[in-house]
Amino acid sequence: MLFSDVCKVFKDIEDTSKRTEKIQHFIKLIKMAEKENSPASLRKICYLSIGRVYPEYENRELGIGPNMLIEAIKSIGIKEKDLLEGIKETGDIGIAIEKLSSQIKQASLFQKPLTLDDVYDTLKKVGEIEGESSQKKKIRHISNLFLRATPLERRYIARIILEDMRIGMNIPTILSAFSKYFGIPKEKLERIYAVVNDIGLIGEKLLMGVDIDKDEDLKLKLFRPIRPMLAQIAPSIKDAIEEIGTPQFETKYDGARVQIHRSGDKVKIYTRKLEDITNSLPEIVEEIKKLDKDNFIMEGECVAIDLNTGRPRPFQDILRRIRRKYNIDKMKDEINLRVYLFDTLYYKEPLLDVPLKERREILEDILSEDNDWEKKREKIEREIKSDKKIDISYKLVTEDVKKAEEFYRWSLNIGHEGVMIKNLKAVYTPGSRVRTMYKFKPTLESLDVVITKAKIGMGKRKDWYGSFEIAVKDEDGNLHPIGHVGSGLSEEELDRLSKKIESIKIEEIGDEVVVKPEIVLEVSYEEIQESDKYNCGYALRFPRVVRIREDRPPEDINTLEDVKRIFQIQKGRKKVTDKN
Amino acid sequence: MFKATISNAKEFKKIIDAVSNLVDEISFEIDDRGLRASAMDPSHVALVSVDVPREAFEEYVADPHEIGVDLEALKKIVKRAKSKEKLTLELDEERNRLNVILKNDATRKFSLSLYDVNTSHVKVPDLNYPNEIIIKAGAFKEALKDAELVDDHVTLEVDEKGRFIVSSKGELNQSETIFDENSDAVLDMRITEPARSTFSLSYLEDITKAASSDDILHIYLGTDMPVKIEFNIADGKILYLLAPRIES
Repeated sequence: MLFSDVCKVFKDIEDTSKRTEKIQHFIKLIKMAEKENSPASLRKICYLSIGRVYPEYENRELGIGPNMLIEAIKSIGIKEKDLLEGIKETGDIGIAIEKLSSQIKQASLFQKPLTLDDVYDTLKKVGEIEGESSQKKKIRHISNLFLRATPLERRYIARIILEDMRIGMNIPTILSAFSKYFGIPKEKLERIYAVVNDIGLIGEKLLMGVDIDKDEDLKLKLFRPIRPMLAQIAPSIKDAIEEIGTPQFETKYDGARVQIHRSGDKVKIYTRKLEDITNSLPEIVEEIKKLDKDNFIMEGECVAIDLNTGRPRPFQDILRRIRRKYNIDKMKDEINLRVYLFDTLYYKEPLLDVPLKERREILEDILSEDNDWEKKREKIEREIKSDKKIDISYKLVTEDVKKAEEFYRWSLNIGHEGVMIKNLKAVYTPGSRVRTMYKFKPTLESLDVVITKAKIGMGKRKDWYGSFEIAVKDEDGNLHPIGHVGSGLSEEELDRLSKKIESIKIEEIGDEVVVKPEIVLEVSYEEIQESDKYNCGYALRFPRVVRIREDRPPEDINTLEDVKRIFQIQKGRKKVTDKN
Repeated sequence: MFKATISNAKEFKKIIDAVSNLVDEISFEIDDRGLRASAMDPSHVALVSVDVPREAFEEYVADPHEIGVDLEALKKIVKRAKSKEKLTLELDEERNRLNVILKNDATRKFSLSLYDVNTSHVKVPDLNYPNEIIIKAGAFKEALKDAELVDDHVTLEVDEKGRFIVSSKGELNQSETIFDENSDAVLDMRITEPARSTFSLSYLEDITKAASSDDILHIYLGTDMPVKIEFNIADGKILYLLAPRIES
């Protein structure tokens, strides 16, 4: 399949803003792969159309920065000055190189049009080149693509290299195209996607015509992490009990969510961003290996515990452990970790469709412990200061509001964040915020938002970006700005944030830059106001950064729906106060 | 079967260096005449071809074979060779490996796994050149270093006076090295018409890197044509082609 044919369709997709038309165009690509009888081509097309080379679950980047890309473009004869000007003008290196194509001077010894495989395989290879003079080799592979490409192909190659495709394709849209073309309900494809996190794999399997209900590769399997199920915010404990009946309450720990996979001596620990952090947590791995049960995926919250007080340490301390590559042993002694496990997703077979009640029973069986707060409160309190590296979450199953509130206060008293309220009949739905699992915390919920723009600061902060436009997302993944935040960050954090922003900026407008939506912030605020300042109709009043959430992927930020719900809850609370 | 011994390992190292500056992997064609290989660099801008006849070896026995070698790995092994050490290459067909044996005070043996050869062979295009310059590598490399101060590409030119000019022109600065028949570095020039082509310096550096100052380069030059550069290593011959930059 010629890459130029694929690019023509990419351009069609880019040129329309209508989602239904994007879907129609994408179907053309499916048909192209079908005509060539090549499911593998569809797989590659899927990845490239969202600006990726590796499957999403691999959490792996191509690692060719803008600087190396510019070097490669320079090496074929395009003047750096003109290129930089073009980028500044259009905000897009893809368009810039397309327009400057006539400047290319370097000839090649053999001229052959690019195929889809040439482009995909070369990029994949470039991502794997290491060692001596790897930069030079990467640049030469990339120049080969540019030398053989047509101007339009150059546009997309440059964008794919920066992993920013800008044609408005995303996972939901591709799934819609699959649903339409293959006649499979979208919800079903979404469920499979949440388990495999690999859009290319789904495309390939569909085109192969496999039975998607039975295919083993499309089921949950060990060492392919999945996105966690997310909780909604409960207005109150009473409301949650009214809705669920007899829920299971669990202490809500303020830590990093982890997924632990084990088969024999092989143990892997992943974050909610699906990063492999196994090497940073050797003591947890050791404990898991000691369990006499095997072949499982468990989920839990990793917290840092101060062994003198038994209380959790600040969240930052966990980040100092997670993703650490050096001095792990030294930090291990300094910051003591404990993982509170609360779910089993796999035990000899996938358990996602099994109700929570049974999943918890299996978990209790694996860990030989239940930490039932009603029966074992004394034991739990005794063990809080112990050196336990893994434990099962504290639980209380009740329909009694008073008892639940007591458990909630107790959880706060021992230093944790609040409670989780879970429906015991619920199955596990990866990657989505569901009404079968709630969280309840004392303050108005903070929001996870993503930075979309950044502005150079003033006065003391003029060397850094000091003000950030923040956004929530809607169901289709579109971003909606909801405020600007500047306060709450230390100088060290500003410095770190500024560096990160430099590396992901897309466009500069005066002293403001537009960035790839990658940095997640947790922000608190005084209240949510209705406002016409932002298109979404809401604005955060006095937002303040609680912390930079390096552990959270931008896909998991709060939604506009959440904002509306909190707005309603806030209205309700106001009414209560007004009455008093 | 294939077994070949070269009396000075350093010479074999030089051959491997000359190839690996441009390409990562290569497939050697082996037969009773000797060992040959051609490959293009990843960008398809340059090509390298090496031909080592059986005469270059002290001992040589070979049936026809094709072996795919990871040059990075082979380079690391031959780097360990000391001068005057004997180097033997030996194909282990059963295990699909190439044994590299270094013999001096002790016998050191390395075993390199081979990969399947699937790339089609690169043919060296047969081009007719109007000009040939035979020049000492050292002098040519110095001229390239001068050019590098000014820009990332260089123009090679034969003018109507029959001089060979290496020049570079940046936005502000220029550099120029002129060779004529009387230059000490020039052994011979066969000029039929003026010609001029421009090339990327980074590739020219890779190409000339393995040549020692006293090696003799044969430079074949035309207008807006790939330049061909040849020199001898041991009894073998190495050839490069480099595509020009078309400066319009």
